[in-house]
Amino acid sequence: MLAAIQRKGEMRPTHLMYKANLAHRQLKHYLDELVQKELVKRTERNGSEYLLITDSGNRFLEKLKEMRAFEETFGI
Amino acid sequence: MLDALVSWFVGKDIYIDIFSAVVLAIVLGYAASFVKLNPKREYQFFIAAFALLALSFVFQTLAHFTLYHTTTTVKQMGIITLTTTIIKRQDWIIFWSTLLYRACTLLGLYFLYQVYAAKQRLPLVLFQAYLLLLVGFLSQTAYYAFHLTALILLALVLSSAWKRADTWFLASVGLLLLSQAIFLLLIYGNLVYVAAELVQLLGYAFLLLTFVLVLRHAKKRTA
Repeated sequence: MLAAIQRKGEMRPTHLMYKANLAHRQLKHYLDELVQKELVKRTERNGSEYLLITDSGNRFLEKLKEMRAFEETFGI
Repeated sequence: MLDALVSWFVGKDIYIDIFSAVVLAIVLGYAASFVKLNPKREYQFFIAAFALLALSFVFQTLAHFTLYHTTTTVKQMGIITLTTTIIKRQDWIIFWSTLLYRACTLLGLYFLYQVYAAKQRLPLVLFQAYLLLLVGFLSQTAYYAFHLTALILLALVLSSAWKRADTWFLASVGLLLLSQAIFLLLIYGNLVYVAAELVQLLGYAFLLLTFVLVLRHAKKRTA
């Protein structure tokens, strides 16, 4: 979900729901958690809700990339 | 000429120990930064393994430093009675640092093997760890027991990680395994020691290279 938002820059929740292939209830659950952890923030423009990745979210994704590369290299 | 090489090498192995400890500490610090993201068992063993291996080289450096410092002091003093006293006083440092070096190395390699091995029950893991500590202690009178056990553990790591890890990491483990095989032949002279230390240096240089490649791969890949 985070990676999808990062790629787009900003995203509407409905678009993310299709992109992440999640049911509405699941999306709301995960999204609330991401917002609570300050990895994603909600903004409103022209009456529509948009999702943006925060600096913490970007840093988290960077760390995740590093971790995956580390795990692949050392076979963990 | 070979004798000159051996003489020149005396004391230089401390730098190899320090280099090895630093490389292990760098990888350890990097791995530790992922524990919050992924607290799985393999990470815990990996971190424990690298911490013990890095610590082992700290003890090895202390042992070598004390040994060479003692030798230097003997040369400078030139008084037999006083020299004997100094060596006796420093003997226990060499004994304990060598013992701790061996214990930490064997436990570290065992934990590294646990990263790739199937999950075992804790009592069995503790019993195996106890046996390795015993080997480390007994190898004070039979040095080859330590090198042979380290060689077997490295062979286990290599075979278990064969299809999972990157070629550079496998090469690093392979070189460390080769260095232990050479250490087993120490009875044939000091040149063997020099060769084993150099192969070990190469092994840790490959580990450093592996780490650099991780950083490069991380930059290239997408989440």
